[in-house]
Amino acid sequence: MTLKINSSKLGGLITGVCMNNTSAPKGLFRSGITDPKLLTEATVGRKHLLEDIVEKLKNKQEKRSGINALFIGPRGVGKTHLLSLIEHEIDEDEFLSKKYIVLRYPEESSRILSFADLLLSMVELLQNAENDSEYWSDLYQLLEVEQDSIIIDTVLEKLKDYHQKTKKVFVLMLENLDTLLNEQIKKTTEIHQVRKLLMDNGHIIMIATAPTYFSELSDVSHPLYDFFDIQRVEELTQDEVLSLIKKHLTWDGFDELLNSFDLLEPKIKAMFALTGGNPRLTMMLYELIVQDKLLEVKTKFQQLLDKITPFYQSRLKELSPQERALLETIALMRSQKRTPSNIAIAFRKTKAQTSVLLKRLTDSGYLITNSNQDEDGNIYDKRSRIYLIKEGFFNIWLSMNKSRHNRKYIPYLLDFFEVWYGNQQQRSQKQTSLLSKLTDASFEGREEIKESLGYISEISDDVNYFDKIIQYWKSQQSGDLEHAAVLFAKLRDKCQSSGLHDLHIALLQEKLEATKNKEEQIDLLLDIGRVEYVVAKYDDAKENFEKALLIANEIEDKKQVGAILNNISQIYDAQGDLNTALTYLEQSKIIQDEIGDRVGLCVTLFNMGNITFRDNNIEQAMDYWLTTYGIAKEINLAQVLQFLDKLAPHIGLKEGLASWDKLYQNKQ
Amino acid sequence: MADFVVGGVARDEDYYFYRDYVNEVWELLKNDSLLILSPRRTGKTSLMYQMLNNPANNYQVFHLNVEDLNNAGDFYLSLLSAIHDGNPSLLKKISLGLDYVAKALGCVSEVAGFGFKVQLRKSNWHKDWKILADQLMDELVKLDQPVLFIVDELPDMLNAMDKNTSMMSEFLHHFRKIRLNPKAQKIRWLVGGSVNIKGVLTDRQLLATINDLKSESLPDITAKESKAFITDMLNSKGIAFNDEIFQKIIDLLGNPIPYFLQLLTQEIYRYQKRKKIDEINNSHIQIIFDKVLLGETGRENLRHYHARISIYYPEELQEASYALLDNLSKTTAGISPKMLFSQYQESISKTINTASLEGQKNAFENLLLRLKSDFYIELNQNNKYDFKNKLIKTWWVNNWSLYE
Repeated sequence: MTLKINSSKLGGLITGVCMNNTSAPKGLFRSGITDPKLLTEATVGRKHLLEDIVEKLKNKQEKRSGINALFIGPRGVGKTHLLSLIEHEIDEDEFLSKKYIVLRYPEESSRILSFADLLLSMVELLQNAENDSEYWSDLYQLLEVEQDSIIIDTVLEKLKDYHQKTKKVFVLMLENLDTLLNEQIKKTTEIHQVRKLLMDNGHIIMIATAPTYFSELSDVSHPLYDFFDIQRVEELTQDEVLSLIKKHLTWDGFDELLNSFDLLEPKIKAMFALTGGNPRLTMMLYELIVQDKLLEVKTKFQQLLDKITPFYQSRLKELSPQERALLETIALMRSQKRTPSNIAIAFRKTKAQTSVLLKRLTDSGYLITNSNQDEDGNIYDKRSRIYLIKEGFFNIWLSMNKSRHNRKYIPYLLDFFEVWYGNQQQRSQKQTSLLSKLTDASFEGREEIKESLGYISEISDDVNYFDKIIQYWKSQQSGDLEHAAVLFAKLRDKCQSSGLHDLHIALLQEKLEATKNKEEQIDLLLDIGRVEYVVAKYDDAKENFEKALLIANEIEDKKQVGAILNNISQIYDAQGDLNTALTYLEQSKIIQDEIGDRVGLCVTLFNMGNITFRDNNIEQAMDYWLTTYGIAKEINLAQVLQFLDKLAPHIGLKEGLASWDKLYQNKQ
Repeated sequence: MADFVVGGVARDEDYYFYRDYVNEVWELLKNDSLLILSPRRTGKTSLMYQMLNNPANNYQVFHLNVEDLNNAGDFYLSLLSAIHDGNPSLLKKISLGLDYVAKALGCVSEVAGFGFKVQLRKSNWHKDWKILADQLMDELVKLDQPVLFIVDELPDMLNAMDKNTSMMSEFLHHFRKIRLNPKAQKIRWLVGGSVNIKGVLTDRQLLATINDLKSESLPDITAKESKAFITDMLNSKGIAFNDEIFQKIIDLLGNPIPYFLQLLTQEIYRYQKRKKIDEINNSHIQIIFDKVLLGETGRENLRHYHARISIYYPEELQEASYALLDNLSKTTAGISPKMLFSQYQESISKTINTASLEGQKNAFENLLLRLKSDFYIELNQNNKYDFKNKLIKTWWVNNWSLYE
């Protein structure tokens, strides 16, 4: 039988996570919220503790020996969960439920300020008993207004009487025993009373939890020193974290993710690195597993950091000021190896002082050492240890407090993404996936993608065009347009040579949207059209060329008009409409003749030769090409001469440019 | 089936150690009342409950734990309450001669919900506790049956009374008078505590108030007893083990304190279950010992032995005590008395010391006596002083000596 104080009497926050596929909430901070079925089904790494205490409860039989169990583990490690499991086991087991009455105190039993309060709360809890609730209720009302000594004498007597009549044993389930003994019940004589209660009354046992080895456990003069059977609730191993996630995905019905669970494993391993196997943190990050939009991950992560702040603040309170300072120092050491010597220098204390603190923090599970490997796993110096903050998440949280304004790409987020996208392959996949979205000009999240790419780029190992894209964007945003232009030119080439046409187009379009300069608009539209032409997006290309033509006409830039007409002709040529293509080229030629644009004219004539040749008008084609040769030779237009040289063998001119020259001389 | 008891009182089937010694205690009680002082977790309280639950020699036994009390009135109230809990009809019988109790008991039925102790508390008897105590004893001596009062944790109560020396003195003198009442030949007292009370009482010149109590120390747990306990417990849990582990455990623990033997054996059981080991061997024992007894949990458990010197020893003895224990912890086979005395002299030379050589020798002997009676050291068979307990020695050298 389990008795709890009505939850409506509890103050404070009730926090839960509710997943998409189920309406059943999952309590992250409170017992009694999680579905009991999930509570047992999704438990990992706690079976041995549960079996151990249940076995003790079963073995107790009629013996009057005491059981004073204390489970110690950091916040979020699952102590409340463990108590719920024990409680559930007692409720479900026929023998145990007859033998024990569980009195489960709320996690924050702030009203208990004395031994008498503790006993009175027992009576309060017993009011909810299936049997004899009226008896306990009457007693509660009677005692509520009495002096402490009367409460103590009466309750102890009544509990003993009740046990003698019913043979039932009371199980006090108390959380945060450290707070109760440290801050709430302060008088030594009253602590002695607590000890005496448990020493002299075999019908009252205690199963308690605490986040740390609190001072009373190690204070020799404290009555409860050496009093408990202490077991540590360890963080989960990596395999256990995998198992936990799998169980929750199953519970939440994420079949698709389960079917490709192998793909999730790197993320779950990252989760393990971040949480150090802390189940509550793992369950908070669980949402990120089913969420792969990088910036949403970022937002969720920041929310988590915010949400987790009280959690870590209370954890820090458990440490001495020197220990706190050392942890923060280690978290902020980003460019040096965290050897004891380096830490001592950064901490500005002696090696001996630092060493004692490092040992203490390692013993209490805040730090881990990697004796002969650096952070990348390279063997380097067996004599020196590398210290790491066990929970990557805690490390990030500590550094977050200090580094907010240091850089655009906030270091703690970079740390996070570095772990989240654990290797270069994952980062490249994510980059490609993000970049593909930039090709959609109507996509509203382009700015977010750029930011995401920024994070990915910052943590990427290789220097590639992504970095340049980021640099370009940064330069553009910062107003350093000259630098941006240089980068843009490099990028354009890079994209062209890499065949990254969509990205190239996206870049150009973005720049087009950003500029009001007509000449630049024409250039960008032509660039876009040319890329679209290369990837056979002829209609898009033509549309962009025509837009450019309009602007060129508008500003009366005839040179551009001639060039654009030439470009449009190439679209019709590619689509097989040679006549229209030739018409555009002729219009282009007229303009170029008119303005004396000999370079443009050269290109136009070359293209007219191509079209008439394919139209089997070889004589006319040769005429265009010879004219082209003459102008190109005259103005020394290397690019066109090169084209003619390559063309020559295809039309029977074996000597290349020399053949063209002979023919030209003959024509003259 | 017996179970491990770590962090509580071992009662009924779970009671294991000092089974023979209980009989010795009953024998000793024929002539004297007893004072058993020994460190925490050595099994005093379990032994007391064993005597409460299994009285010998026709004794009517009452047990009271006085660790939370701080005045004489509450002491006798608890004593009455213990009689009430243990044998209500006896209390009813003797209460006829007790004015206060008779009045209180007469009122019980009139106030629903409240019991005997509450009624007594409501009376004005705190002021007149001596009268009540004398009346109570007068009634008890009339009984044919011998009575044993087991008073646990008396030093804690005296510590709580320490701020009021006159009250402590008044209580102790009166308590002694009651014990030495020539008519009370059939009433015996077994007083226990985990704090060495003698130092405090010497300082207050009150040591004489307890010199009628015969001092007893709990005997060492022998290798044979350890082996029997480990065998019984692990067999009952179905744990297979290699016989070599007995010697290993003895090597690691020395003459074990029951608590640590319980702790280690329980951890062997837990380790086997978690790791699913077919047979526990020496290497497993070493791992468990290092992790559990020298690890975080064990370290906290053993801290008592270091800290209680600074809490309970006079300031002038503290530095020398730590120095000698540090030196002993670094040895493999202990230190001869002569060498230890020389180390003691070196230690006290750091502070101003005007004592003559004879004075130094006396002070050294007193210190050794104190360290011996507080479970730290013993003179071994090679006539050298060494830590009495191997576990504490290992812990001491690991945690304290190396920090120099």
